[in-house]
Amino acid sequence: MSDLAQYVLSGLSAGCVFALVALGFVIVANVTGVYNFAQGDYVMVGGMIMVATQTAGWPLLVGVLTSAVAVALVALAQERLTVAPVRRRVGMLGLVIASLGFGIVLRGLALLIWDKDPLSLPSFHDGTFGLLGARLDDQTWFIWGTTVVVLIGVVGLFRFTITGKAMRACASNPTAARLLGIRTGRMSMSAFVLAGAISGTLGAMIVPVSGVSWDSGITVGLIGFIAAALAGFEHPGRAVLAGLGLGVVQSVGAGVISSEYRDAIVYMTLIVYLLGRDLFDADGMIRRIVAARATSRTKRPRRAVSRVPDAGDAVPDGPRFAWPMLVPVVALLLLALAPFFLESGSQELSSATFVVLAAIAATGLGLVMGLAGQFSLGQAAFVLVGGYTVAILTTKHGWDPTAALLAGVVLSVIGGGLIGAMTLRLQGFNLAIATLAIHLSLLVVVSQATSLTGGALGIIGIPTLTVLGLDLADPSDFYWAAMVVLVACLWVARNISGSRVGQALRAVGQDEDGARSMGINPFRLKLVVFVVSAGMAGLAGGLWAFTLQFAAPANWDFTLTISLVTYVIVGGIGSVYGGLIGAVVVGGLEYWIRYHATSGLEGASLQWELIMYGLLLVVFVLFFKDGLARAFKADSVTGGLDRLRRRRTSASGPPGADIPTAAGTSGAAR
Amino acid sequence: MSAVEQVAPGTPAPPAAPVLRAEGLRRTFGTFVAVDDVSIELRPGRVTALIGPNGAGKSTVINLLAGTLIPTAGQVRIADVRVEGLRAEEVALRGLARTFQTPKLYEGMTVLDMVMLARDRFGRASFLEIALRTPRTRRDRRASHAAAMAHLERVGLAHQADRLATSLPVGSQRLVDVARALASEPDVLLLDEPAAGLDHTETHDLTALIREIAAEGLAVLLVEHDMRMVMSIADDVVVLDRGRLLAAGTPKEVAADPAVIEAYLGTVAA
Ligand SMILES: Nc1ncnc2c1ncn2[C@@H]1O[C@H](COP(=O)(O)OP(=O)(O)OP(=O)(O)O)[C@@H](O)[C@H]1O
Ligand SMILES: [Mg+2]
Repeated sequence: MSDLAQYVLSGLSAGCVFALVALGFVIVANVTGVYNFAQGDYVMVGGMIMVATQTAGWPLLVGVLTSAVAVALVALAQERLTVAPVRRRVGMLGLVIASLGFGIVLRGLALLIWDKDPLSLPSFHDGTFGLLGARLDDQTWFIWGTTVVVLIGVVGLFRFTITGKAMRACASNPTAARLLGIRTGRMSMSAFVLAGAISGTLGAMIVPVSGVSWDSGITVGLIGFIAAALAGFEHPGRAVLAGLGLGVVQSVGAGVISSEYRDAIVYMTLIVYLLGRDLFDADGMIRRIVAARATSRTKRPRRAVSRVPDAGDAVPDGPRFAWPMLVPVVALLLLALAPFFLESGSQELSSATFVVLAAIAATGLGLVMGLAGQFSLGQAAFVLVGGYTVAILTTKHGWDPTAALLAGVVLSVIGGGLIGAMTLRLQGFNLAIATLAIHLSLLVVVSQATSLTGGALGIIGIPTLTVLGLDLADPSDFYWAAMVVLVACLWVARNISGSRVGQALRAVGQDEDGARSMGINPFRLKLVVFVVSAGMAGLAGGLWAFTLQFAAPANWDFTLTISLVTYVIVGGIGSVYGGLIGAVVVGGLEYWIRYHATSGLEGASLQWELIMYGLLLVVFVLFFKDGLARAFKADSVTGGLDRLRRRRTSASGPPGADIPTAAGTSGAAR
Repeated sequence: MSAVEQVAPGTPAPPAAPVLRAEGLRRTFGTFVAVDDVSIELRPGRVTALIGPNGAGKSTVINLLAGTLIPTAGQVRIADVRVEGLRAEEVALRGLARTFQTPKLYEGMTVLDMVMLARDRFGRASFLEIALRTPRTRRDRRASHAAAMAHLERVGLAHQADRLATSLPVGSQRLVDVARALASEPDVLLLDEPAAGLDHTETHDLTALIREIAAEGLAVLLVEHDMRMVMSIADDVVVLDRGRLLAAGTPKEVAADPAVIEAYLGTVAA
């Protein structure tokens, strides 16, 4: 009993952080329509600054206030740089990706300034106290107290101040708010500043309990997002409760089941929730089963048959050659030249191999983002599945390499089907969150299930690849094999993109009701594209395992997902070749940084890579939406400049003419 | 259709049994009742006009029939199959096509592309074949192209096939919408104010086209404000006011109905 009280009460402390991060998500989403993926990193920055002030010997209170103000300024900078100037032109997806990029830059800067190792602080007040049979650190009082004060402050702000009331008005109806003369631009700033100050304060308070490191914002942000999602991004109160609840779930799960799996347990809550929504949603399974029963007596024929005779022979079948092809051709040529200039077995050639493999996975991701209009933050999860399947089957079960490779693809495809089925019916960013949660869970599992996966050290001794008797042990032979796979994937992607499926998905992306009225089933098409994409990632992962000859969690962690997303955005989200182009350009740049700019010190370049990726994401998604694939089309580069110029001339007009509300995009199941 | 009117088994069915039958449709938004107890029957070969003042609930009725909205109460049957719980795409695949009050246009798509979307359902190649671009995929594409051109020809837009749909004048955009609806080869066609924004000759051509479509055996529901157009092509008229059925009958009967004159024509005159 006292054990349980211990778990619940200590869970509340972590829960306070999740609750206030969730509150930040809800405030920003409601006022500006942006799901701010940098929110978790605010907590990290707050903690870091707190540590810095304490190292400098400042008083506690000054330290906390400094953290709050500093993070509020960071949030303000984010709003001014990546939201305000572009809100009218960049869609929801763009704004979200930009916030992800901003968060990555923060992570890179933190790594640069404060280094890799976790930092901590002593409790603000030494001692413990007993409550309901549990024994808690005195720091708990500070965390709980701060949370209560913040909540009272936020409620007071919304209830009793003009700014707060105006922010609520923006949230419920931006157009009407503007007509009433409320300056939505200023409200958007206020929302970011408020969310930043809250996260900064709590970030400072939590350091003595959980410590802080450059990447600790990822988990905090994700769990906060889950709490906000549980509250439907609409009710601040519910978001806070959900955050507290997740803290308790995490702590109880850690105590009762296993502390290694504590985050994975929280992520499973999300999966259960998504499943529940899929079942009970207005458009969900139960509704469909009921509807199907009413209509089941006459089944519709599976395929519609046209009544008019097929006159297709009268139409020429001409694949049209389009000019932007030039860029992908150059990118492919560069890759094809690599083995002639790089020595077989050299580090450079293996880097080039990684670029090819990443291009395969990114091509799949490009289909999901560009065609299906969905944001996936878990592409690396499928790469991981492919890689570990190969590793386990070849080393522990003696499978034939080709069979193991295929098994990896099959498992990825099945996993993709399950995740897609749960998330693609709902709008919003469920897919992104679910895939990220599953990836992080998988990373926990492969690090912990030592007997199966070798834990953090991984699995060594993977044989080289042999396909149909063709031995690919030589690195340059393997490179050519990977190139063949890449070209095949590009060909498949191009076929899908140019087909009726591609056209239908483009229609869905622009107007779902219109597409549905023509008999197009958005869910099925998105699912099929997502599954193909997962298959490509699994294939890349399997090959990756063969070329590395070992599998470890660090090979395919969250940084790989960030790389893949960046490749797609930089290469061009609207082009099937975006992933290829981005991988060649950005991947090439990354390895150049790693080997040359930082004098070859493995790992020491991570901060620069993070900063580069974050900046590229922000800049491309906001200002060069079409990416490099369209760079040589007349309108795109100058188009970007043009848009900048137009912004300057129209800056005097009313800001934020078209702010989507979070409710409008996350609700509305139909 | 009440039970009394139903024909006894054995006697030959009347030539035009309703293909779409809606009974007791009701839809609320929060506490607001947008549509209340509306019943409509659409028969092959007949044009039914749905009229009523602004905000009467006409578009909502179309959305309910097409599966875009789920009714709060009531039933919709297409060819005697209940469809009101189905999603819009399922309803569409069961032979219902509709246009929207504001034409749906897709950026970056040509007129031909847009009409080909409606032919999506006739593709015979499986997804695997599409991914591998087999000969059957290419055949599908050609067939879809040819059929879409034929439908564009029909509404007189074949010469605009390769233009971006967004660059056309509003009148042509509405015709693209009609061509797209026809290209899906429906049994029931719901048109939401297709003549809005059209000039006199365009309206005239559209009227002729709708008559021709109906003559081929389609059941047409026409929402329209232009009373002259309604009176000239409607076989039946249904009047809606504040979500409720006000009157139904032939154009002549409805035009003479005192309640209609008061509620509908009265507001127009005012
Ligand atoms: N999604 C919705 N949420 C809330 N109210 C709605 C919604 N859709 C329609 N309404 C309301 O229902 C009523 C009927 O709307 P509807 O669009 O069906 O009218 P209409 O007869 O088509 O009018 P119009 O001639 O202007 O097109 C209106 O008062 C409208 O405000
Ligand atoms: Mg209407």
